[in-house]
Amino acid sequence: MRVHIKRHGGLAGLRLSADVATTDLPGEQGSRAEQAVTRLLDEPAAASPPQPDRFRYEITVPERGASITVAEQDLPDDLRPLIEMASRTATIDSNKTRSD
Amino acid sequence: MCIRNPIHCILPPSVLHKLAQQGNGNVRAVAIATLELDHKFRLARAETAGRQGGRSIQPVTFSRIGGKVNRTIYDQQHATTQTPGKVARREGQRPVKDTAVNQAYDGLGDTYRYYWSTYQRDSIDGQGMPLQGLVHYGEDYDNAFWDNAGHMFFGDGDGRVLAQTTAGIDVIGHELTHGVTQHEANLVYSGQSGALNESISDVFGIQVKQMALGLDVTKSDWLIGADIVGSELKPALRSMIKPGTANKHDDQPADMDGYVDGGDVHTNSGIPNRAFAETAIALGGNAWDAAGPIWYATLTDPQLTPHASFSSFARLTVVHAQRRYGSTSKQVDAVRGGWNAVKVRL
Repeated sequence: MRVHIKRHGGLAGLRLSADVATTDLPGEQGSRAEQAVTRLLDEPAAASPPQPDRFRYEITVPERGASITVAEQDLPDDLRPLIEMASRTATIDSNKTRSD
Repeated sequence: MCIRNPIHCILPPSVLHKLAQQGNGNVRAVAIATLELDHKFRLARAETAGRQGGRSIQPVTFSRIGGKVNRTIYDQQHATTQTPGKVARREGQRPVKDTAVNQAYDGLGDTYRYYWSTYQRDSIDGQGMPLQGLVHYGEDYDNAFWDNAGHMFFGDGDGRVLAQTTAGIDVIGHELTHGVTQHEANLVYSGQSGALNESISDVFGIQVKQMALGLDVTKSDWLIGADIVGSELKPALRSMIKPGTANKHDDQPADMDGYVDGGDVHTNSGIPNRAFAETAIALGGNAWDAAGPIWYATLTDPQLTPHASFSSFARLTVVHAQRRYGSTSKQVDAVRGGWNAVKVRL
């Protein structure tokens, strides 16, 4: 399953983006991650109150055209390996239009 | 109505009670009815206050003499456990080998000292709440945060976005101030109230650093996070005097013309940040001489509600400047000047 992940928030207020595939994860981790994403999209859980300066993950599955945002503290354990992989390859989104 | 029946004027409860006890038949009946009505209003007011999710009644604790910080630093040993791990340094213990532990310990102390010496605020909740710092959270975790349950978590950074987060005295002040805000106005963490929440953390965070290092408003660089940024975000996370210039990814607006609808709370916070910096610089000396107390009085004012806008916050800062320094004071002028500079309507 191909997943596009955007990370918002955090102390630095930076936006990171990454495109990852659950099939890139070793062994069982891939299928568990896929199930976790599907569960999040189909049965969104109630969000816990926002904690200041924590991350928020916007997870999009392009094939389904569906998106969900999960607070860092609400991330299911099965999703952590995918998030960690995404963090390693993420690029920084910039809003700046100035080129300096 | 007032002349015919004095009961219908504004009478204090003490007078009403006396009339209820000693008055003649009609006066007595009316006094009792009025007291009942009064009581209903008071109950409704208390109920409303209780439901607004803001300040809780603060119990007075007589057993504690304020002014003594109580810190414990824990080592999370790179796990992401949300509860304190291994004790690394207790209050009063000498510095240990782990620099991150010592920096967190010192930063928590600097923050406590700022609030106690300037406002006689005894720790984050004003009741001497112990300060707990949890270092080495996660692996290469490029963040630090306050968990709304009394703990500050510090990542070691990934080197690219952030470096060791305990190195930022202003960052520690910033995070702990989220706890102060939670106990006071409890500003909702989205929209303008969220940007205010973020700004307040920067406003008091920078003062914690300024006080710890002896920097007045001219010596301070007004940069947030200069001591913790990684290669990608040098020289700093944010600039309070020149929002939008702190690093190549800094997208903060410098005034309301650049306000981002639906923007991240760290983006629009640039506007109230600059209002504070301009106010403090206009007044000279230390930021906590006048500007800090005006902002603190506003934060702790029950009239500052959880969904406050920039304008309602700004208006309250003017009110508090007027109350402390007089309507025609240079402090009031400086506060107005600060908000005018960022084009927030008063």
